[in-house]
Amino acid sequence: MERANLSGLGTVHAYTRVVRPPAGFEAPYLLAAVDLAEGPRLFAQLTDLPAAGGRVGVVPAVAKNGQPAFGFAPRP
Amino acid sequence: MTGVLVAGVGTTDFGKFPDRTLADLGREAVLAALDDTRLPGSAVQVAYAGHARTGRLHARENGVGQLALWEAGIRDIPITGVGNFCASGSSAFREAVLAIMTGLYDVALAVGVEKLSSRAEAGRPLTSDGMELEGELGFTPPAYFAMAAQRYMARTGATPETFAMVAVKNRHHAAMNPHAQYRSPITVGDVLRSPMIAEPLTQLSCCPTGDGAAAAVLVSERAAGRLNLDRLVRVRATSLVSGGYRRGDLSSFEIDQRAARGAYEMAGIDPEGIDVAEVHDAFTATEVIHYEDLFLCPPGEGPRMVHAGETALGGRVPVSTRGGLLSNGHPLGATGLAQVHEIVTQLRGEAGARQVAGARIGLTHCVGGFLDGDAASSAVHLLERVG
Repeated sequence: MERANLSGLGTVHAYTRVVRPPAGFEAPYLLAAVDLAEGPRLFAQLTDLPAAGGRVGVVPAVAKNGQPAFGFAPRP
Repeated sequence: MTGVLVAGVGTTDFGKFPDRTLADLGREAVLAALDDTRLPGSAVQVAYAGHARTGRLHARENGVGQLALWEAGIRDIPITGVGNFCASGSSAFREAVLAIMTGLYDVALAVGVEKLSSRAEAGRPLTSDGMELEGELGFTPPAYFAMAAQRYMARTGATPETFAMVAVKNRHHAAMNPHAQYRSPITVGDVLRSPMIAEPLTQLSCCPTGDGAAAAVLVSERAAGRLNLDRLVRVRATSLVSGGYRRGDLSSFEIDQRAARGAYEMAGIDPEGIDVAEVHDAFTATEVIHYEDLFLCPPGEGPRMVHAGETALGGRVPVSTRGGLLSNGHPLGATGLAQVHEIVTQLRGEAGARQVAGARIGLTHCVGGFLDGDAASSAVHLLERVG
């Protein structure tokens, strides 16, 4: 096992619009399964849908109870 | 290896019971299973108890088995708690099967108990162990399975109506199950118009909150003869696997395919031999996905099965005849044993109005938990009528 740096870039494998949120969140929001270029799949919010097959990249986001976290946004 | 037989089953009603406790739910299920077996509690030599949220909700992380059995007058024997996400009840059943199979015990009891209606966040999606980081980012289990549904629609042409028909079917079955939480009929329109949870899953596409308990008494071949037991059902296969974390397409669950293959191989039974099945229909869409992953139909044929009524009572392989998780709720520890209760009832020919004619072989399936974006545990059991 070794540490690896992630580019934060990936593609959206699947997404849904969450309308009934868990406690601490405001809905609706998009939740996506993002496949990072380096392999791992992450689940996080998506600011907007990318064009079909388009890339997304990590952006700072406000998450549960106002805590800073991350999400994904379309990248050109 | 010794042959393993289910000699008795018992269940409580499923529902939301603010006045009931883990102790009295568990006691009722254990006593019902013993009564069904016509054995005294003193005959039980070993027991396993499935429960998953009793620590968080009831400050009883351990000892639910001891509690339920003591309430039923059983003490001294070895009792082990079994926590395994949504498959906790199935896993407790499996442990009891293995205990007999080793030859170490002749009479084993499995019980599952859960009371989820005590959740402070009632009405909100259930969270999951194993996805804490993702939970901070807005992940919920319904959202995960909504994404699976999206991928499945893209791959197979399934529509929200296809999924809604599963809820309608399972509710129709539940109307004939006196233990079910929701028994009044619903329509496709009702399902589609109920409040959206995560697209395309609406409220009636998701299993409700529920409390309940169920139990089974298992015996060895030799004990069945010695104790002169009847109405027996043979355990043909027990299969339990954990996740492969292989980042596949979310429209199918590789973990379930492995669990199912293991069960079919152990039993030497083909999927075509299944007469009735209880699958993990926590969501309408996942029931359809399970048809494929359990090999009840070829890939891509799930929607056709639904529209042709093949999984409804009277169809080729009726699924969720007790009404499924969709009509009963999903008290995590109890569900797997409630499935066993239903399949045993069907194979004995004792299911009344919801009887599957001539049912000889039945399947139970529970999958759950998360790790690294995949499900963490899947259990499949195959049971066969004796005689």
